[in-house]
Parts: sequence; structure tokens; C-alpha cells
Amino acid sequence: MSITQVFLLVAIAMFCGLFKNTRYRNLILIIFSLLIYYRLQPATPIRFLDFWFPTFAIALALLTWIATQNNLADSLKENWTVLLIALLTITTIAGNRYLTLCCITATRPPQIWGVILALCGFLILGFLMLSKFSFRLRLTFLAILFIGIFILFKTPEISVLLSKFLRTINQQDVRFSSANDLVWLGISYILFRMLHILLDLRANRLSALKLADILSYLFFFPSLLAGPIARFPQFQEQLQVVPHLHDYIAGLRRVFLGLFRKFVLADSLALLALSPQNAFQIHSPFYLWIALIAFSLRIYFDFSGYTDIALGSARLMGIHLPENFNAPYLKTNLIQFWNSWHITLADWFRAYVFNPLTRRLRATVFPTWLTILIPQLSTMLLIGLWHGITLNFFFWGLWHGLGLFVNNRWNNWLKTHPLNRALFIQNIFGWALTFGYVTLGWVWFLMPTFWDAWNVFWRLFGLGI
Amino acid sequence: MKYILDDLSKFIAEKILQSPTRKIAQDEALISSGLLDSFHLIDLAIYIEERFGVKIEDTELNRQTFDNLEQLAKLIQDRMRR
Repeated sequence: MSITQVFLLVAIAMFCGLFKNTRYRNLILIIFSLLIYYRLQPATPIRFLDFWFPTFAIALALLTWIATQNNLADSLKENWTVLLIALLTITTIAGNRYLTLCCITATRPPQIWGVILALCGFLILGFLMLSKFSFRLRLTFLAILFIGIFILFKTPEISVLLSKFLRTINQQDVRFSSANDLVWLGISYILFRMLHILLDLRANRLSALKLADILSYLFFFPSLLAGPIARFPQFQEQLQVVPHLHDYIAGLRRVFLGLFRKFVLADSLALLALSPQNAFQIHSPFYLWIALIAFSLRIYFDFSGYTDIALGSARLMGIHLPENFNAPYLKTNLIQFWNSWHITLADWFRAYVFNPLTRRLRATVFPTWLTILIPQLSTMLLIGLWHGITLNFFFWGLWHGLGLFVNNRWNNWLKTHPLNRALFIQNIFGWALTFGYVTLGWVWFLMPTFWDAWNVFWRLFGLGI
Repeated sequence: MKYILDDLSKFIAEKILQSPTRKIAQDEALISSGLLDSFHLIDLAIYIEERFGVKIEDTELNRQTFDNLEQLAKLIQDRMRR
């Protein structure tokens, strides 16, 4: 995202915040969020995908809403305005194909009849699900569908096949097929927000859903690109809040902090940071470490900078999004690090993977160490694979899972063998160890292949391969 | 409310932290300070369910729902009244 785009988003957020009637504010918010989603989606080499990806995401949201209703006739009566707004927004953007003014999408949209046909298909699928399947079965079907889409787009080997298929039906050259053809903006966040809604509906933690709330939650423009993943009930409450003067001041301050972190700190560190391009041009282990540390700081300032911009923009509308970072690089152990890094994603996996799994294991006869190792490893592996289903992200997850296990066992040992002396030195040592471990782990994250990462990993210790 | 607070404080000090002499203040941060980790929270939830008969959901074991004994005791008390 460029600085100009950030300022534009801030201006739109301030405009939305001007509406003191939250109902109208939320309708305006939905229209802007959908338009911005189309605008931010980058051009793809495969024809029309920059239109189809956002359309498909919105259609999935509509499908979810229809399939989760108990009485559709009543729900349509209450939500028809929002449904109409969503459908009109999509068709208006598609209608841009016939205008020479400007395009919201990166390239010209497809034929409008195809768009209308696709939308009708989704709506009919929703109605069919509603009439044929039970509530729980519909939720299960949608959850499997979302996980399936996630796997399809996050596994490079499968994405290439999909790219070949899409190129074939578009009569484009299949020799250029690549996983990079399928850049679907924000889909990991959107799918995990949808899964959260489905899982909570299934557990009766959520009741009837309003279409306006679902669309605002899934496509809320400040958090489209890099989260955070707010929880739906808390977000719903925030939609009823209007901004006051102190929100504008705090919001703008946060946006400027984000701009400084992203465009000054992160972008400057990028000049020095380790990357797949320079990793094999640096031969000295010392300089390799410097570059790796620069990457470690860069990824933090980049990600937390975007989070600041998201939280600040939301605040301009009076909306408080949850924090995603809490000084993670100042923590003195890995457990604390994972309580302060990408907090909302870690909380998501804690709520739906770690906690239920640990509860079940606690009721078994497994030895304690196994009831700790299994959930920690599974959760961290899944967090790794959330970034992309590759061997590298698997190892990154494994690295942190094992690190957390050792940390847990050490903490447990300390309970009976407290080290009461030299707390300051312990903290310094703990900080250095944690920062070093996390930084070393980034090697798996940043290199494109397992063997590249393996090579860089050992060269950091002077063991050239 | 006081007996819930005392009970929870005793359980955390004795069973979780294994430090029976440790006193936990009502407003002392439990999760955000790192005093309790994710495994401790599960043990605490299981204990609360057995001791007070109220369910603490997996999605509630986080600092947004409670971060000190006072908030947790209030949550338990509210659910016991239902």
C-alpha cells in the first residue's frame, strides 16, 4: 500500500465517522469497504481475476449469511437493503466495463451477464442448502468449503494446477502458469473470520446474524490487508459506537505512528535486510547475522506499522480494533513472545485448536509432557501453515512449537528450583535467547525453498554448504 | 464473591504456581503479565467447572474476557446466578 492510498483510506474513515447515525454509517462503511476491496486487489496475469476474487469473497459472505438463517423470508425483510447494496455494488463495478471513465478494478471487468449469472448461482446454492440441509450440516459444509479454498490457494503445487486450469478456460498460455497468478488479497483473514463465525454458531455462542454486520466484519476496510482478526461479537458492539474528538486525535496519532514504522523504519531496514535475492551474495556469517537481524526488525515494523494504520483508521470511526502486538521483541521468553506477536491470530488458534485439544488431552492418561507437546506442536504447525502450505512454513511452525515446549518445561522446572539471584542477568539472558531464537526462525520464513533456508541456516554458524 | 476470590487465589498459588505462600491481589494481571500461560488457563477452567459448576468457554480463555481475579470471580458469580 502506498502513502497516498493510506491518506485516502484515512480520509474515507474520517468521512464515515461523520455519520452520527450508526445505521447509515454502517451502510456507507459497507459500500466503501467493498469498493476498496476491489480497488486494492492487484492485477493478475489471468484475465478478470482481479474482479472475480473480490466478487467470489463477497458471494461467499452472502452464501454464509443465507445458509445460516432459520427463517429466510423474515431475514430478507429485515436485510433486503443491505443485500441490494451489496449486489448493486458488484454489478456497478462490473458495469464499469462499458464506461471509459475509470475503473475501480485493476483491469477491465468481465461481461456483466456472466457476473449476474455467477451471483444468481451463489444465491440459488444458498437457498438450496437452506431447504435441503439441517443447520449443522450447512455449517459443516461451509466450513469444509472454506478450508478447501484455503488449501487450494495456499498450496503452491495446487495453485499452479488451478492457474493452468484458469488459463486454459481463458484461452491463455499455460506455459506461464504460476502460483503467483493467484494473488487473492486478504483471503486468509476473510476465511478465518468466516470460520470463526461458523464455529461460534455451531457452539451456540452466536445467534441470528445481520447481513450488515457480517459484511462490515469480513470486509472492514482498515483491516482488509493485514488484520487484526477481531472477534465478531466485540466488533458488532463497536459498530454501535460513534467517534468523539479524542478518538480523532488518538486515531490520527496512531496512523502517523504506523506511517513512521512502515515507511521510515521498515522500508529503510529493507535496504539492509536479508532477502532471497541477497542471501547468497553475503558470504561472511557476521554480515549474514546483521542482515537477518535487520529482517527481523523490518518484518516487525512493517507488520506492526500496518496494524497501527488499521487501528488508527478504525478509531477515526470510533471503532476499537484489538491490538495485534505488544512489544514482542522485548519479551524475555518465547511464551511471552507468542502472547505479544500477531496476538489475534494466536488467539484464534488458541480458541479453536489449542484449548479444545488440551482439554481433551487433560482427560486422557497421556503423560503430562505429551499433553503439552501435542497441542503446542499442532497449534504452531497450523499457525505456520496459515502463512502458506509449504515445507518452509511447516519448519517455522515446528521451530516455534519445539521452542515453546522447551520453554514450558523450563518454567515448570523453575517452580521447584527457583533461581532467586541475579534476576536482572536472567532477564537479559532470557531476552537475548528469545530474540536470537525468533530471529533464527525467520530464516525458514523468508527463504523461498527448504534447501535455501537450510543453506542459509548453517552459513550463519560458519558451516558453509 | 469473597469466597470465590479466596478459592481461586488459593488454587492458582498452590496448584498452578506451586507456591502456597504467594498472595495474588484481586487486580493483579494474570494473563497479560504472563503469570498464567495457556496450559494454566485450561487447568483453571477445568477447576472452575468442577468447583463452581459453571462453564468457561475455550473462546473465553483470554485477556479480553478476564485478566484478574476480580473479573474472573464476577464472571463466575454472574453465571452461577443464571
